[in-house]
Amino acid sequence: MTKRKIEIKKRERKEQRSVACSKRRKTVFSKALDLCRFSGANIGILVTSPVEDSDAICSFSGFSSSAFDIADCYLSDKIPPKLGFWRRQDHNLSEIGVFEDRLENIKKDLMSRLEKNEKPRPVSGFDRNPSDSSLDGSSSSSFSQIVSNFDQNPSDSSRFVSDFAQASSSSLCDFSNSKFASFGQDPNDSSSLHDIYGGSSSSQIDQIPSSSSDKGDDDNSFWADVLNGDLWEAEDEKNNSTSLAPETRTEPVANLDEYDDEKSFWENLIKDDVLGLNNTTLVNEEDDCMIDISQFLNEEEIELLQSGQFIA
Amino acid sequence: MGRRKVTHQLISDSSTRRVTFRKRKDGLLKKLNELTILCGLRACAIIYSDYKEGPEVWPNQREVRVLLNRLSALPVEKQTKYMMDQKDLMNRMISDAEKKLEKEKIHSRAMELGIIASSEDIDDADYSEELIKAADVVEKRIKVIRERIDALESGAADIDEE
Repeated sequence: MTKRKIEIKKRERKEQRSVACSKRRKTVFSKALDLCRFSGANIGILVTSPVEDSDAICSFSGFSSSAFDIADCYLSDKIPPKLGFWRRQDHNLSEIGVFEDRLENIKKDLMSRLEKNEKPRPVSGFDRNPSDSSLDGSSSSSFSQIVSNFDQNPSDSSRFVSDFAQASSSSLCDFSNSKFASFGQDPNDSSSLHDIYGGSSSSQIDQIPSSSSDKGDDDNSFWADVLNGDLWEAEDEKNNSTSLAPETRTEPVANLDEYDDEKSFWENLIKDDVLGLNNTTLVNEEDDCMIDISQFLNEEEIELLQSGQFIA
Repeated sequence: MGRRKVTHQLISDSSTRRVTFRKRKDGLLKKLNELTILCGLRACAIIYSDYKEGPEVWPNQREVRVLLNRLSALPVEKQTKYMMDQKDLMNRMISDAEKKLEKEKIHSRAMELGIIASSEDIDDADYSEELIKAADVVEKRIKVIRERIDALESGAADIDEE
């Protein structure tokens, strides 16, 4: 596309102005959107209409419900709250405790499955250069760190995991649309899932066959990352508590009424194809690398999945 | 276009995030400025980030006040009419992209028909109502060829007369 330089001064005719306005306003708003998403900044933009006698005002808001609120807060010296799971006041401990238990169960289940999967399957031929994938070079090394705690062949495990992460990267943008992406939060808020895991999960970890004693912490951060959707970017374990997927609006995180143990968080992810596991063309031809997610679900759960009750 | 792979999520590496924030914020304000000049509008931006205590405002506080007053002077329906947030914008971009996709599909369909029309393997074609469209394409091509023939013949006639 050729770039034509335009002199930055007011466009002569009304039509030119309104055309320029609609195009440019669109790009301004989408750039603001990018800024919000990439850096978690809360942004408000107000723009008037190019038509002189119109009083319409277009606005964009990053993390608040409207730019009006943001501007209001600015003028009255307050800080606008960001919406999200962590900001809701109406959670009670029992709800959150329920989440925690479910997540623990999923985690336990998955870990044991990973164990089983790794033993008979040499992940061979998966020579994906870490820098080709969306993971930075540094991330694959931290993965190996985490994963080498699995008492398996370290290099195979790390490939398995980075494959896993690669698979998730392509669909992870859906993540924030799923119900559970409201786990996103303000980067400064350190009361993260990390803490939830760190607290009570050590007992569960002990049940998993292969372990070294310091495995607990790394696994916590690994799973916290999976849930927080940062698996695919430069992964620094230390950054766990500060880098989480942003949440745009407060949605009811889970409809707890229809909750039962069959409908796990994990299935929601699968349904949204977050991990890209439903896409069989995802990686290379080595099907050894692919996880058949139906292993994780019993038939009833698969039916539930397909019945489409999990619209995010 | 674009050197880095762009995924719409919070950047996990904090230093990259900071740099990206700074660059994109500058770009955003520049674009906003251009918008106001080119279209003769008024605009303002308020940015709350984790990299600065308190908000960052463009162009100045007075403009924000003015625009906010304007906004609040509107009746409620008008206020919310053009109010967009992250989700709305994304949905809009998604539907725009989908429409584009539809157009491209139609376009490629037409090209496919063109190929069928030019080859003679119409038996292969499984498309029922689109055979009509294919016939249409053939018609147009016939017309073009006829025109070409006419042009050549009259051109040839001119040459003969010289």
